[in-house]
Amino acid sequence: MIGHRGVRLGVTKPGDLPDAGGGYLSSQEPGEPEVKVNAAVMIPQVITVQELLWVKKQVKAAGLKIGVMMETVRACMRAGKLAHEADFFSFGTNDLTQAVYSFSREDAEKKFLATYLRSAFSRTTRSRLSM
Amino acid sequence: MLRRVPEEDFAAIFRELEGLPIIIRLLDLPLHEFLPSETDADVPRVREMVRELREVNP
Repeated sequence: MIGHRGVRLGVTKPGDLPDAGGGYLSSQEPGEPEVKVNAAVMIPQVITVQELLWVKKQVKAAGLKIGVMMETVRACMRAGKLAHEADFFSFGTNDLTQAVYSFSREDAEKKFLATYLRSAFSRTTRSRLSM
Repeated sequence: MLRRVPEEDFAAIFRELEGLPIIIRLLDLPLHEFLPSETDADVPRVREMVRELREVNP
């Protein structure tokens, strides 16, 4: 689950990013009736404003809105700065929960969460994870 | 070649929406669940990609 994924793959392997909606926009056939597009792209795993600006340039060039998935601890710590550059936020609670607790869901579910949930000392954990 | 597939999908979605708003979440796959293991990858280019994308969970 760590590091080299989401927006960072877009940075290390550029070229595939705006293909989703933008590729279509630029490839509309002449003569085809024009299709109105009101789309936004949501960017996973953002950690810095610089990263967001790098993606934003491409997304805006394709005429799309941009949203940040708040799913890293650092993005939440920098939310104020990211908010100036993003059109919206969306909270990716799955990854964010793993990052805040510093454990992976796979390990937690298979190895210790059941014990914690059965025991008396995890009332807080239980309510926080809503299990 | 695969690139045509999402393009056609999006074209159809945009046509259907007629300007209504839509949010496209970029793919962020859990790679270890989708990529073949290095030993199973028999195409050299795929094997190289698997090696590049392998992550260590500290």
